[in-house]
Amino acid sequence: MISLDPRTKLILMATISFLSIFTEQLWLLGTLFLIGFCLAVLTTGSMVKICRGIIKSLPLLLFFALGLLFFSPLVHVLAVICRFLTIVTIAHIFSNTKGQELMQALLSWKVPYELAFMIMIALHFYPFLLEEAKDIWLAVQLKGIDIKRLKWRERIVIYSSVLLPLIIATMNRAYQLAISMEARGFRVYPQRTFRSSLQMKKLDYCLIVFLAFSGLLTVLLV
Amino acid sequence: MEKNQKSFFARFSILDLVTIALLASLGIASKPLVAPFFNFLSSSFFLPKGALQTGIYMFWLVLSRGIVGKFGAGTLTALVQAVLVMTIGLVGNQGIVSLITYSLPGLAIDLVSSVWGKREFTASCAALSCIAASLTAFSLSSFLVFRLPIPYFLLGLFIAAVSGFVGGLIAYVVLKKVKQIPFAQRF
Repeated sequence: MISLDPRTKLILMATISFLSIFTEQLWLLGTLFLIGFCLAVLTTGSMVKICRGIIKSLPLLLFFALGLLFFSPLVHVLAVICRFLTIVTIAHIFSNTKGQELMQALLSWKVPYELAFMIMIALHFYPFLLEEAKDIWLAVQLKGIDIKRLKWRERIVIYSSVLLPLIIATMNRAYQLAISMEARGFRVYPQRTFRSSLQMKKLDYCLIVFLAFSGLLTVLLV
Repeated sequence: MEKNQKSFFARFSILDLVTIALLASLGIASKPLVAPFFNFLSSSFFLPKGALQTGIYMFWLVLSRGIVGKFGAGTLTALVQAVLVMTIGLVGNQGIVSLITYSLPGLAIDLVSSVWGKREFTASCAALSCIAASLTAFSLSSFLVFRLPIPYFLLGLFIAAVSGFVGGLIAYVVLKKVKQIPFAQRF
C-alpha cells in the first residue's frame, strides 16, 4: 500500500477522470480503467474493497447499458461502461483520506478556510447524522409500519414525518455548534494556523510528472 | 480582517455556514433511506433511476437555500456534498466528476431563486429552482459520463423535471413546517 498526498490523489483523479470523459476510444478507456484500478488497489491496499465497490455499482450501470442498447451501437455502450467503471474505480483512491489532511490540502490551494471548515464539519457529523436517520427510521418501523405495503401517498407522508424531526435536530445542533465556534473566535483572523502541515514526497512528484507527460501524449495522439 | 470582509463568505454568518454544512451532510446521510423508495419506482416502470432520484436529492439544496435565504447557499451546500461524497466513497460515487455534477445544480438553484424569489421564497420559486437543478444535474451526468442518445436523454430529462417539481414542492412544504417552529426563527 502506498501513501499519497491528498493533492496528488486529487490530481490523479482529475487527470484520469477527465481523460476518460474526453475520449470515445475503447482501447484508451480500457487502459485508463486498468491504470485507475492499479492505482486504487495500490493506494487503498485492498483489491476486495475495489471489486466490491465496482460490483455494487453494477446494477446501476447495467440498467443504463440495457437502456442504451436500444438506441446506440455496442461500441458506444462498451465505451460508456468503461468510462463509468474508470471514474468509479479511480474515485476509490480518495476514500481513505483523513478529514484533516483534506482540509490542509484545500487550504494549501488557497481554498477559503470557511469552506474547508464546512467540509470538515460535514465529514465529522456524517456518521452521527446517519445513525440518527437510521434510528428514526427504525422507530417508524417499530410502530408496525411496513413501508413496502404502503401506497405512494402514505409513503410520502411517512418519509416527511421522518425528515422533519431530522431537520429540526440538525438545525438545533447547528445552532449550538455555531455559538460554540463564535465563542472560540472562529473567523476573528483572516488566516488560521495549524499544528502540522502537508509535505509532498518524491513519489508524489514522480506520479504528477508521469501523469502530466502521459496525459499530454494521449491528448496529442488522440 | 479586511480580506475576510471582502470575501464571498462574508455574507454568511457562522450559523449560516454551520447550517449549510450540516444540512449537506444530512442530505448524504439520508440517501440510504430514500433510495429504496426510488429503486421500487424505477424497477416497476423501467425508468432511469438517476433521473428519478435527482429531484429528491436536490430537495436538500432547495431546503438549505430556503432556510439560509442568501445567494450562494445552494452552491455551498452542493459543493460540500460533492466533497463529502468523494471522501466517504458512496456507491456509484463519481469522484472528481461529482464536483461538477453536484455544484452546478446548486448554482442553478441560487440563480433561479434569486431571480424568481427575490422577495419571498414561494412554492413556485422552490419548484422552479428544484426543476432547474434536476435538469442541470441530469444533463451534466448524461453529457459527461453516459452520453445518452437523444430519445433516452429526453425521456430522462422529462422524468428529472417531474422529479424536480415534486422535490421542490416537498422542500417548500417542509420549509413551511420548519419556519412555523419558534426555534427556527433564529435562522
